[in-house]
Order: sequence, then structure tokens, then C-alpha cells
Amino acid sequence: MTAALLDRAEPAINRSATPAIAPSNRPSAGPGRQPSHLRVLDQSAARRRARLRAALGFLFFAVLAGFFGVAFVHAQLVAGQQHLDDVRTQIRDLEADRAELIQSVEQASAPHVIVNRAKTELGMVSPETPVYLAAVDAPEVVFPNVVSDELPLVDEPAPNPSVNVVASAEELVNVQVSLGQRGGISGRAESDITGLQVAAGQASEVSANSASDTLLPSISSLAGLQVDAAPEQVSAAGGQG
Amino acid sequence: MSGGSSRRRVAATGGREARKRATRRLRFRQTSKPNDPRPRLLVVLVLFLVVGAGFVALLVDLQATQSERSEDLRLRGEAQRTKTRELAGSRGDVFDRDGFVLATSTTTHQVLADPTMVEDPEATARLLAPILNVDVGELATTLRGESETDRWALLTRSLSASGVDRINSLRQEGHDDLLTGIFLEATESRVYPAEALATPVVGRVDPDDQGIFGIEAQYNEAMSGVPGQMEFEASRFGSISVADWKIDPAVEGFDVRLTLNHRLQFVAEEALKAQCESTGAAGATAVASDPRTGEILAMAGVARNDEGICVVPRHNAALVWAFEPGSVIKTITLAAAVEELGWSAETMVDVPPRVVVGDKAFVDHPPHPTAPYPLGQVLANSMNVGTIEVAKAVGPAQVHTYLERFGLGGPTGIGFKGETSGSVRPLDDWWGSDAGSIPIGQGITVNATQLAAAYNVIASGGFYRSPYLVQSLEAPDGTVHAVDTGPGRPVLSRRAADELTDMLTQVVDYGTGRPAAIDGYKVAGKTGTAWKVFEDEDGGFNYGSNGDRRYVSTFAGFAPADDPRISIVVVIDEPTLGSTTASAVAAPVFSEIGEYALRSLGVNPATVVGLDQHPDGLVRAEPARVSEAETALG
Repeated sequence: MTAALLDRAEPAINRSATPAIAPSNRPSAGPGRQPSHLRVLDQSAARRRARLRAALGFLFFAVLAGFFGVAFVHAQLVAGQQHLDDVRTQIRDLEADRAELIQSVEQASAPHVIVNRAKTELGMVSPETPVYLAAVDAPEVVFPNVVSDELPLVDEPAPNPSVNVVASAEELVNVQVSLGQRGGISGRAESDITGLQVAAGQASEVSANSASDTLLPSISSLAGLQVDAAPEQVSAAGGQG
Repeated sequence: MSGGSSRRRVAATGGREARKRATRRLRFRQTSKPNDPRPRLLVVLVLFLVVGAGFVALLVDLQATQSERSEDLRLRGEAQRTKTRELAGSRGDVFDRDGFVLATSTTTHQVLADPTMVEDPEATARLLAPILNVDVGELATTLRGESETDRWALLTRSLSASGVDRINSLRQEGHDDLLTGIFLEATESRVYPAEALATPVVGRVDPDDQGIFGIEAQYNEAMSGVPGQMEFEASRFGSISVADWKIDPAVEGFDVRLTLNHRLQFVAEEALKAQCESTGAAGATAVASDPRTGEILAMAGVARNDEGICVVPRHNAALVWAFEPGSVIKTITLAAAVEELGWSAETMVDVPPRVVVGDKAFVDHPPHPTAPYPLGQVLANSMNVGTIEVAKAVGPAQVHTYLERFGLGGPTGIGFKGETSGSVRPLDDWWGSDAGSIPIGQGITVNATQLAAAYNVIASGGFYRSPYLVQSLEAPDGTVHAVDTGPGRPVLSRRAADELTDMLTQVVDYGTGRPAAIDGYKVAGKTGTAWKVFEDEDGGFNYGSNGDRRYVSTFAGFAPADDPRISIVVVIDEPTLGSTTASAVAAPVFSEIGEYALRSLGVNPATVVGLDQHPDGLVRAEPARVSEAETALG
């Protein structure tokens, strides 16, 4: 009943309603009149919409890719920063290690440490009296700015050529003397510092194979080299004890 | 009929109502159709209006914010995201002349604790005590805090890198719970690699890295670095990678290069320590310098501490201690005579057995009759009466003038904090026996460095050169600012200086200074044994009486005498064991320090000793004393 009423009433309502589509666009429903709810699709508009959708899709994916790109770059930056932080930390650690090593060297170079080690570990002792020995080939030794004109030169070369003065004019001496059964005492700057056992006046490097090699007969000459010998050295040289 | 029409009327009325209702429904349906945009437009319009109104409100608020509170908000924003880190401006180092580091700064770590966070102080103390090298009980007490609200405790001010590693290892090994509330804080700390070596000269810094004495205090301003600052933006997760960093770089302090030779300094300190112990002295000091330049090569001092042991103290006795020098001043008195009167070592001086000046009589030891003595012997035997006779000859005014010319009674120019100038009273203030006592070194006071500078006048051929301790200041960029000590000033003629050198050589060759001799070298010097003023039981200050005297024993000299390379002053304060004379206690120390100094400076000896004992032509090598350690080593 109600449906029938509605069917009858619809034409009146449609007549009073504003048409949704212009009459010219309405598809014809028959030879005389077009149905109001149908229209002809415009193909060009559809194509435009398709292109628009494609463009929007492209734009969407482009923006998405852009976001991913930015995220990637940021991730790279963060990773780089992390690496940079790691390197900085490493540098700090290494610098700290270096500082500690430098400090260790400085502490080990302290005179009291050297003397303590020389006495307790190496068995070195302070000499009672230094004795000055002449080096063989002393005339060849040059002592710039330090040799007094009054110093006598070597008159004759000593017979034993095993003592070689190979350098001069260095404040820090490097003296190596091999001594009998001890197998040798080697003193560098430490010897100069402490005056222990081996000391040199001006010659920079002296090497000898035995104690007797070191003790030279040329007593009238003087090249500023002094060696304080160990007991073994004294007996080998026939010196007084 | 009526009934039927009535029903028809009713039916007709009911149908109209039904149609009206249907029409309303249809209209409603029509207006609710999806294709009708009006409702949605209405909603959008309303929303737009609301949002628009909100935006307008925001814009108004934004405008107000930007115009009125912009600065405040900007600062708040920056404060929230900006972090700062201080960049340490390292304090400059102190080197000796050869570059040996006497003082430097290094990064260490403070270990701090928040006692309220430490759950088991005893267990934590047991864990940390070996690393911090402290007593477990004391550490536990510290970790418990002074009160329940105590949230800060310093466990150690300086922990080495290895200590830091050990603590970090403990954390990784699962001791995190015991280390909760323990914090490490990087800090810069001052390190003295050679420990006590040259402490009185180098000085020390306080916990705030400010010099409190010595060079550290004297050059504190130059050595102190200016800390920098690094600003960076950070979130709670750490620094922001792409944010700006602002770095205000730290400025490092100047390095100070001293004139000291650390090896000679060590030898001097060791020699003084040994002599201080063996003589029972209260202290001792020594200054070694290069007479050609005035550079101080060693400035050592020891003092007997409360435990009765001679150690390197903090005060620099060579500059801050004034003492009566005694007979070492006789050289200056004779210098006045040599320069002003043209006297020489051979000039004969009539010396009576005693001389009275003012209220005091001066005598010589040993006693002698009136006799002429060569001026050289007056000095060699350190004759009081003879020197006073010389002073009479030149006059007190000249004696006073020469004391001042030799740099006594005035500042040395070193500028050391606490330095004393000593006391040489103006001539107008001389009274009583001063004209007799001052020429022999009593009644004036000097410091050891002044005395060294005075003897350098003779050693350098007559020029006074201000002694100096600092060779240069070195800027962080490597620029070296050499310390200018100025030109020397002439005090004596060359002839007078040479004459005095000859007389001083006689002192060591056959006079009171024989123990100062150095094998192989010609040494010039003078002894001085002075009475020392001290406070007696009654609170008075005096020299005491015979048998109750205190002495200051001094030896001042240089070597080699013919071409001086080193001058040394040794002062032994109040020797008590055995002989107290300078000849016995100060001269041997001079010899020991001088022997090493000459060797280390590369000065060749002038003579060879012991040659006559070796007719076979071999140079005698003295045996070294074999220590137990050496014997054990075989």
C-alpha cells in the first residue's frame, strides 16, 4: 500500500526537485524523453581523472621516497656521528695512554730512580776517587770549546789500539766498558748522572774489550777521559786496591 | 448512508495525513541524499570556522609570544637543548735547562661517591680500597657519609688511567650494584715526575691548580691556562648530529724553562742530605751557578724534619734564609783593598795578636805574635785580626761600598716569592764593633744566592751578573720569551779579580779550604764559620758563649780557578756532630758537587793525579767499594 503511494507520489516530487544534471546531458531514455538519473560519461574527463590519479600516485610515492631518503640520510648522519664519537673517544683514550707513557718515562728518568736502580738492580757503586786516563789516538779527538790550551797532548800513541774514541763534544757520554767476568758494565747517561762506576770527561764513546785494554800507559797525556773501574778491572790492570 | 459517508470522510482524512507523512519522509530522504553537498559543506564550514578561529587565536598568541616573550622563550629553549663542556686550559710545564720535566699536568680522575646511593659501604670499600690504595675501614667510613643526607664524598683526588680501567672492569664483571653511587670525574692534576727533586724551587700548586710557592707561584699567572668551552645541542639521547657546535678553545699556559740542571740538582741534594745527617745539622743549602752568565745550575736545600731526618723541604733556603756568612766575607774586604789600594797577594800586612774595635776584642786562632803576613796568607788562614787591619786600611766606607757592589743587602733580581735581601746596614747605622765584625762577616746577613753572585764577580773577572733561575717562558705556539737579566756591571778590575782568584786558590791549596779541593782541577774558594744568633732560655737572642755556640758553616768558591765554569756556595746550618768548622763540614760538600759538575759540564782536568805511584806506566784505577749487592751479582 505504502509502496504504491510512493510510486504515485514520485513524479510529483521529481518535478518539484531541482534536476541534478542538465537536460542536455541526460541520456535519452527513449525517443521522446531522457531518464533523469542517467547521463553520458565524458571520456576525456575520465582520462583527465586517470592522469590526475596517476600524478597523485606518483607524487605520493615520490614524497614517500623522499621521506625514506631523508630518513636514510639522517640514519647515515647518526651513524657517522656515532663513528665520530667512537673515534673521538679512541683519541681521548690514546692521548691518555700517551700521557701516561710519557709520565712513566719521565718518572723513570728521574735521577733518584736511576740511582736506585743502578745500586739495587745493577750493583753499581760510587767510586772513591776518579782517575783520569788518556785515550789512545787522543790527538785525533777534538774537544771544541772545552779543551784548555794548557792540556798536554799525547806524545806517543799507546800500544793497544782497542780503545777507540769515536766521537766527542757530547755532554752526555756513552761509555761501554767490558769488564772481565762481570761481562760488562754499560752506562750511558745514567753513568754520567750518577758518577757510578763508569764516567767520562769529554769523549763521547769508548769501547774496550777488557779492563787492561781500557787502562792505558800513556800517562803523560790527557784527553779528559776518566774511568772508575770495578775490582776486577783493578786486578787486571795491576793497580792498587 | 450517513454511516457510509462518515466512514468515507474518515477514510479520506486518514489518507491525507498518511500522504503528508510520506511526503515529509520523502523530502527528508531527498535532502539526505549523498549527492547533496550542503550538509557536509555546513559541517566543513563550521569546522573551518572553528579551526580558523583557533588559528587566529594561535596567531594572536604567537604574535604576543614573539613580541613580548620571545627572548625569554628563546633562552629557555636554548638552555633546554644546549649542553656545555669545559675544555681544560692546561697549566704550563716546568722544565730544567735540558728539557727534563720537573712539573707537568695530566688528566686523571677524581673518584666521588654519593653515600646515600651506596647500599653496602663495607663491601664497596673492600672492592675499591686496593684500587684507590686506601684503608678499607677508612673508605667504608667515608662511604657511609657524615650524615644521612650527605650526598658527596671525595674518595680520591687523582686516580691513574689503570685505576680507571680497573673500576670499569669491575662494572663489566657484574659489580654494578656495589659500584652504584661511585662516580668518576675527569680532572687535570699536577704531576712532579722527579718527586721531591728541586721542590723548593719548582714549588707546588693547591688543589685548585694555583701555585702556592716556588716557580709555580711566581709564574702562576703565566702558567695558568684559560679554560675553554664547547657548546653543543643535545637531546636526552645524546648530542644532536646535525646541530651546531660552538667551541671556545682553551688557551694553554706558558711553559717555564729553568736554568737548573736536574742531575746536578740531584747530586747537590744528595750531598747535602748526607752531610746534614752526618754532621747533625739542622739543615743545609747549596747554590751552583755559571759565573760567566749568572745562570743557577742547582739550588738545593735540605732541612731536618720533625722525625729528625734530613729531607728536601718546601722552603727555598737558598733564597729565603738569611744568615751571617762569617769569613767568606773577608774576600770582599780584601777585594776593596786590592782594588782601591792596589794591594796584591804578596802585600805584607802587620797583624797583631788581637785588635779592639768598639767594645770587642778580636783574636786569631791559633794565637800569634805581631808579625807581617802576606795578604794571601791572611785570607788563606782566614785571619780575623789581619782582615780587620785591612778593613782599617781601606776604611769602613769602602768596606760598606764593596759589600753593596758585590750585591749584598739587595734583591738578587730573581723575584722569588719570600726572597730575603739580607741585611747590610747603612754606614750611618754602624756602631760599636761593627767596623770590626762586619769586615769578617758578622753583623750582616745574606742569603746563599747573594753569596754565589758575589763570588761570581771574582770568577767572572770582575763583573756582577744578576743570578737567574728562569731561562725562558715558552708560549703554547712555540714562541720563546727569553728572560732578560740585563748586562752585568763592573765591580772589580780584571787585575783585582785575578789577584783575588790567586788568593782564593791559596786558600784551597794550603789554607782552610783544603777539603774543597777537587782532584785534577784548580779550585778557588773561602771558608766561613760564623756564630749564629739563637734564642736562649731567657728568651734573649745572642751568640751564646764558648761551649754553647751555634754555627753556620759556609764554603764559597769556583773551579777551575783559571777558567771558572762553576761556582758553588755550600752552607751547613748548625752542625753539631764532630767538627763544626766550614773546612770540615762545608768544604767537602763543595768538592763533591764541584767534582760532578765539572765532569758533567765536560771540563777537562788540568792535572793527573797519582801518576807517581805508577812507575810501570799504567794509570792507577781506584777500586770502587764493593757493595753487598754487587758481591751478590758476582
